[in-house]
Amino acid sequence: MPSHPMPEFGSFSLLLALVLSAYTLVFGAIALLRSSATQRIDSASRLGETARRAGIGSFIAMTCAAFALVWASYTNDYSVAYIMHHTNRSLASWYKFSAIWSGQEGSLVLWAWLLTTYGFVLRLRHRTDVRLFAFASTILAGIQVFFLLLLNFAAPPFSIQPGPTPLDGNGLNPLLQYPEMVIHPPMLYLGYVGFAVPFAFALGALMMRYPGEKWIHITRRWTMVTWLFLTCGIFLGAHWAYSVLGWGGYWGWDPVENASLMPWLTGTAFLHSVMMQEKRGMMKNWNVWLIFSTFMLTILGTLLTRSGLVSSVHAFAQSNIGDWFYGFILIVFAVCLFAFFKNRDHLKSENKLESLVSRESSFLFNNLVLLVACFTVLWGTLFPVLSEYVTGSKATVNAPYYNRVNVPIGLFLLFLTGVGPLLAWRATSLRSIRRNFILPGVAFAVTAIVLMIVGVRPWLDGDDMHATIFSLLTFSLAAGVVTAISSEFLRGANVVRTQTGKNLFASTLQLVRKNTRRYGGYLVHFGIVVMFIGIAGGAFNTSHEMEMNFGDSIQLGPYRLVCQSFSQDSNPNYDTEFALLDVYKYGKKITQLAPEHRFYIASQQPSTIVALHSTLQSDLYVIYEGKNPDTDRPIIKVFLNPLIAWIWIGVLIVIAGTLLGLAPNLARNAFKTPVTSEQPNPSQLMEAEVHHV
Amino acid sequence: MSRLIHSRWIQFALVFSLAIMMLGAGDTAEKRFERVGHNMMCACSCGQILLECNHVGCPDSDRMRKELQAQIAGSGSSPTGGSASGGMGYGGSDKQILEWFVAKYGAMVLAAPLRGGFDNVAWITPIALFLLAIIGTTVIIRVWKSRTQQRVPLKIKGMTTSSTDELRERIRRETLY
Repeated sequence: MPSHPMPEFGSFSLLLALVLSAYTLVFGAIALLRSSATQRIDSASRLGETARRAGIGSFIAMTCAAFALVWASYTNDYSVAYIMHHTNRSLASWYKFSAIWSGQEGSLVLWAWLLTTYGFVLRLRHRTDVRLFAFASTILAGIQVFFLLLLNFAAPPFSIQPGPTPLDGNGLNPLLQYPEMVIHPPMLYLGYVGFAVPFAFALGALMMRYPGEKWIHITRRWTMVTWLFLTCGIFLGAHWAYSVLGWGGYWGWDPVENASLMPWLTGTAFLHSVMMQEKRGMMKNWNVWLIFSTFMLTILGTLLTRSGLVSSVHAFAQSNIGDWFYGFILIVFAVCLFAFFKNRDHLKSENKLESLVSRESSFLFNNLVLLVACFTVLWGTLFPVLSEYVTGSKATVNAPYYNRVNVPIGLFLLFLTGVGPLLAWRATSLRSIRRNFILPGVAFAVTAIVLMIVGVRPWLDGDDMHATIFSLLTFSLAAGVVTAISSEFLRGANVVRTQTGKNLFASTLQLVRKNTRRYGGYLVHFGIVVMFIGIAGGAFNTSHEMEMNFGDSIQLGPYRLVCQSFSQDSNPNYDTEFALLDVYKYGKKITQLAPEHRFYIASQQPSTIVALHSTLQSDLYVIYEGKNPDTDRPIIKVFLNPLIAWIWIGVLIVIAGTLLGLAPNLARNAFKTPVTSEQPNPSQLMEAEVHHV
Repeated sequence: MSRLIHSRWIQFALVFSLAIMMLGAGDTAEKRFERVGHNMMCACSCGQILLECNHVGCPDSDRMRKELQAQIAGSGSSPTGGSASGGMGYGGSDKQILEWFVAKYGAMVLAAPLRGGFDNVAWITPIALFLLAIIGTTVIIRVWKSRTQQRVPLKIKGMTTSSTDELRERIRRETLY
């Protein structure tokens, strides 16, 4: 029997990682119980320390296992079944790396490695708050144990291929052979797995009845970074779908896409509502359940797509490990429920909402809207199963459903994005509302009128008027929200200018640097608005399909595409057919596009490579659909998709805003405001207000 | 009299708006093809919307598109293949066309639950939840507010409510960073 040293090393590392994680879980829990019992604290703390070190060891063991899989991929070790099924010799080297997460077992390796990495960082930083970190470390170890059990017993990545070792592998799924696929899954998994950390802290803080809101301060950066990774992962996936799948869109409401969107929605709600707990000691129950739900949704999403419960185009992910996830999600829910009921008296709010028109209530409505959007996505994903159970026939729930239900919800959210920052904490006076809302209101009305004048007239679109109405509303609301955000920046900058005498630009810069969190948040809102503008452009998409001969042309909007040639080529990995199309705009040649249709030799699967000419105004999106067998001429489909680039720009702004929010504030300077004798000093008023609260 | 004139103006504005809204409302066969085609799934199990199915050599999408064009043109056959009579085989409304496709390909051909009956639950549930959530939250905030109002309101000697608001606003801004 041939020996396979590297796969054996990988298998052993996985087993070792499981044992070390189990040690962290069991002995970490024993140490916490002993220290709670206030006896033998020294021995409990020594035991806790061994558990922490075992947790760090699990990261090292898991890294060895991941390395063994990468090694097997790069050395073409087709004795490993996973490598045989997902790579081949002629595969480009970076795709040999990304092949690690292109299948079930490999993606679980990535998941477990990221989880132990997060755990490693957490356990290294334990001095921040030893006891809270010990709780979080133990809970995280519990999650590690689940994934390592899967990897050791249900979906082992180092299974040996029976019989003689094949000379070449089956190759990587062609759809995954695209540069974004190298970074999209790790980003998405960083987001998915990362929510385990705030979950562990929240559950730990609840179990130990952690006093105050310090755990929120500790986990704020973790949550924001995780949210950022998930955002990047989702939009990299959308961009990949747009560039590779060749149907002209970027979001198909596939169950796997939905699975990533749901925790993003609840995570976004959590990021907003924890501010109420930090500022006013409110919404404690709500926040705890939001982060519990967010973590459980990451597991539920995985369950939905890997159990085969709902059908998805991400077919690679389906397997028989669904039962494991059912069990795990039940255990997690039971633990959360038990911890909550045991300690719910610890979560009493220190304040209550005082006004319907306040920052707090806008956060509350924002949370509700995000949760309703999340429920709609979950409901649409599960409805086919429910429908089959009730009526006996499966209903399909696809884009038309989600668009009709979620677009109005999204518009309400966009409205709140603009309104929220204009409202004061506790209560907002009528005068303040009038003053703050006039400009955004005017911007909304003027934009709507201008758009109607230039031709966005829903009443001319017959039965398609809904899409145009929603677009008109989106553009108008976007103008209002951008005005609201800008006026917030300007008002703050004016205050700084009055205090410091600097110019407006320098004052704005100082303002932002002194409260990075607040103005980073506004920048994120601005990015979301830009993304909404891009999404609303979808109402005006047009397309044309045509079989083309040399010299034939297609006219779409301002563009004319002339077929110069069509040919074919070949390399060891794939055969390709392509067309060369000259693109003219208003009679002037601007570029040449070459849409491709590839056929991958190892996997015997076709793939489309879209040719794209992107501008701020619109994307010219060209697909080579194949050859007409009767005439041997290529069939070319052209889409003109307005404003798509705004979506990707919006994402970049969101990333910039989040990074700004993560940056530390400048040191606080005291303001020296001249105070007139008629008015009380602001600090006196603050004092009065604090007493009032 | 003045009220009457105002009311007349409002009535006029309403009628004028409605008239404008109705102007130019129309639906070409091409638009209808796009709309109905985007409410249907390709029957080849690719999981894509009919008009977005881009599989080379797809066994179903070309035929289904031609059937849809024929239905819209009002010259479709019956789902069983023979010549049909009545609205079912000759296009009719969007709903009738979709029913024709359901009869031929099954309920999975619809891109959204549109069959009525239990399908309505898919639409009603999120909307009902949304309304309940909004109404529930509003009621809860009002109850909390009424409890909070029993406390002594903030009063500072020598200051009017508006100037207090202004000052509070200023404090909020200045103490946030």
